[in-house]
Amino acid sequence: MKKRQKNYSLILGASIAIFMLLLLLIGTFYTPYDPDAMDAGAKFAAPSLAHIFGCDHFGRDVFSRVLKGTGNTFFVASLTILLGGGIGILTGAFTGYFGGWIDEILMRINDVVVSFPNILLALVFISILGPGKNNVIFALAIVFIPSFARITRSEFLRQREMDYVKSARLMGVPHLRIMFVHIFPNVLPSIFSMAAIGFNNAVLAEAGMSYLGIGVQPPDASLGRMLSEAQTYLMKAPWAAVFPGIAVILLALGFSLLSDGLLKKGGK
Amino acid sequence: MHLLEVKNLNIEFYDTEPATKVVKNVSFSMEEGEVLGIVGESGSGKTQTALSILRLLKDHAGISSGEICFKEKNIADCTEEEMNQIRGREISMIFQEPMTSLNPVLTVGSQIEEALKLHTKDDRKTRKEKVIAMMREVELPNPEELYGKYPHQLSGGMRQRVMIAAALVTEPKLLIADEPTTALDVTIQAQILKLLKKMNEKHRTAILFISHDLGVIRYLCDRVIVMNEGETVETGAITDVFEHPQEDYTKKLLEAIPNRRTSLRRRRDGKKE
Repeated sequence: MKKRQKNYSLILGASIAIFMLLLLLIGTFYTPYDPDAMDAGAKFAAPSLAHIFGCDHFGRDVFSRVLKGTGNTFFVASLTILLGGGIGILTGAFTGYFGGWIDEILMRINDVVVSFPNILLALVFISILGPGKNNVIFALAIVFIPSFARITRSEFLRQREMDYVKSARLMGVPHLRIMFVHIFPNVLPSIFSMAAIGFNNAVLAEAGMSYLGIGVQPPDASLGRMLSEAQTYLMKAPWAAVFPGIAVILLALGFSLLSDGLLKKGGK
Repeated sequence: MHLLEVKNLNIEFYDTEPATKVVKNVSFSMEEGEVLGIVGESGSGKTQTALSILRLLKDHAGISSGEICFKEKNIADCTEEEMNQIRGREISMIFQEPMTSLNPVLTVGSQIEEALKLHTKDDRKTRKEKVIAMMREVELPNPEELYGKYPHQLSGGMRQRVMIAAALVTEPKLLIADEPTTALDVTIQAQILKLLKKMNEKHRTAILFISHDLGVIRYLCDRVIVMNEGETVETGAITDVFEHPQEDYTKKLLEAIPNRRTSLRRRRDGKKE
């Protein structure tokens, strides 16, 4: 018997993810200061007991804003994955299971979407739809559909030839039920890890877009937005950039380690 | 009234040019409670015949002519929904690979229950009772405990029993068994055959038993069809075919069974082949 190795990525990833989720939860109910309240006296205040992460160029409390911003970023990323992933998984499942000309058409459209760089494509959608939180979610969701669709499709393609699908057919199980009751649970592990990776990318994409000024709109806090605002005063008030930066890193790192760990645990 | 009647069945594979005929003019009928064997080498069209009865041929295969009637109803006329009502309810099928034909992520119990869920209006409790009773009937040990287990926790023989339980839980009129014992070792094979025989006698389930193993066919079947290269070579009652084969192919097939007597005779005659 091989000695069981400790799954460090799972432990570490789960702790970081739980820590970030806790922060986020606290941030939705309580922040030490109003994240949007400006205090002229505290402009560029260094971290102190009163403002543990310091203050930014408007004298807003960075800690409160990081809490709120994490929430916003997380919200955008989750909805993106839910929407993009949901549509992607559905398309992938149908095209993979049934195949045929619909499969061909949808997959070629997929190829077209994939051939654009992600951020560029999202920018195009934003410039059509106009900036704002909801539009960012929508644009990012579209960008995320193809990767989900592809992986789900290939999984369904593989699974539909399996004997258990054959025996389900022999039992008179209708196609839809085979797809979602019989095959879907078998595909779940890959969807899971795909969602975790997608979540990371979504966090970074949201931060990137807000950084470019087309994401979450001021005065709403978002991690990317805070980074972009703090950039100008990087030498004067590094704390305003460092803490949101750390939050982005932890959010992305935590979930990527978590997915890694889960994958290892699944034995693949 | 025949339970199942296959008339001049022709099946072709369309993915070649010209289309390959895999089943040629096969006709047979089955009565209720009868066990009919189809024997033949691999590639003789046995499985395609069976699949065509359930209308589950692959996309590149099709029935080019002939008809299949189940309970006087032409299967070709059924809609897909009607077919789904027949599959698993009236006609069930089990096949060769017990290792892979169960879904790895669903419990054994829920997989047996699936047919009941689809084909009956029983509530959850009745369904579970029926499943447990069926599991007991196919001689699975500790059915209550096994109900919540996953296929990978079971041995090959147990899995095949689970497959049989899933196929018979709705009490179908016809069970198509496509080489159900080929992947199992000999002792388990014997147990499974005994079980099938018992189910046949108890529930009057007709069995269409497909195999390349003459010994197995002889043990289980009332009548037998010998197939070769898509054609029926010989049909008849089991004893007739085995004791007095009419066709050369059948004779050769019977001679190919290695047993002590023939091998001794061969040695004595100096025919060492």
